[in-house]
Amino acid sequence: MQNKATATPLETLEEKIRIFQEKMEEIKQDRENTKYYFEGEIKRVVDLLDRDLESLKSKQIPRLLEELIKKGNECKHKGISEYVKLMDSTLNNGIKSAFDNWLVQEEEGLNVEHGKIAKRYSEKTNEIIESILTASSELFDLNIDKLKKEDSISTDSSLYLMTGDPPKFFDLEGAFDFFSQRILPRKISQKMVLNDLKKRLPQKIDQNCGRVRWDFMDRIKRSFMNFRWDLNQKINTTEESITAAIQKALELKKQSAEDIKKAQDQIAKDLDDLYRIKQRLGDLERILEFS
Amino acid sequence: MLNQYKRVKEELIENLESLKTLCSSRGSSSIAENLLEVEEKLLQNRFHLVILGQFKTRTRS
Repeated sequence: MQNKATATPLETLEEKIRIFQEKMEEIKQDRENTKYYFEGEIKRVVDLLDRDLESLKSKQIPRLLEELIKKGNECKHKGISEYVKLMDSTLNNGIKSAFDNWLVQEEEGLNVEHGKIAKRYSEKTNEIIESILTASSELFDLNIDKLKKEDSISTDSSLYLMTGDPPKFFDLEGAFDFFSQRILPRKISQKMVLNDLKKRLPQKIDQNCGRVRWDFMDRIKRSFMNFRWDLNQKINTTEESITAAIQKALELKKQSAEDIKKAQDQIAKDLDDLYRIKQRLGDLERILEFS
Repeated sequence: MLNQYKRVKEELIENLESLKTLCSSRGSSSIAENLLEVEEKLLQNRFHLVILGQFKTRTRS
């Protein structure tokens, strides 16, 4: 491109640069719109998470309470220490079975959603890079290779998993303070334990849901931001390289014929080196394909 | 197999180095940075492993 631009009369070159800049403005606007669109998409995933958490709470809190009341009735004859131990284990097992499974499913579901968004973002990025290349090649009548499928950013959504570890659900330490009830008569103690559970379980679940929401939300946003950063870098690199090539040519046009000739020789040498490297990389690719 | 991998890796790094030098001399710093990143991944043997398909379980007869 630099070579071609150097051979173009200054006036024509300036006009071409103006057209290119106009095109780049359009592409920039397209990038902005894309950014807002995907921010909305990420918000949609967070809304999905919120709905899932609400549904989890509304289903599991009454179920757990019912299970605890049933267990409480079954263990009425037990001493308070054993009663507390059994209630505690019922609670923990109930939570483990319901919430741990939910976490696994939610992680999978959110990964699928994140993957779909990342895939669409990759496709959009490829389109933007393609339009920058097309705009510049048309301007200078160059035959720039289109992005080969294997060169373009992978659009397999299963490759875009969220970063970080899945959140853990419950930290029940200190959730239920049974100690004070141990010094009271059994019936009163048991009643107090049960009332305590009924009152504090929904609060504790709500708090933990809030923590899990934050963990998931943070991972979704962070994963997508990292991903978007990488892809934006690719667009920026493409744009910067083309702009730099035209800019160099423009500066060169203002120099002596001798300097232009020298620069053109250097470009030809760089191009030769580039083709040689491309050839060697192609050879290595073939070795890997057949090994 | 391991020898071949080492040889391909060395050649790849060598070519990445040449590309990086070329880009730097032309002032294409962003591309040079991207190449450096790829080279570092290669040197640290960090790859994306993608497993396609399912594992089949084999039962004893």
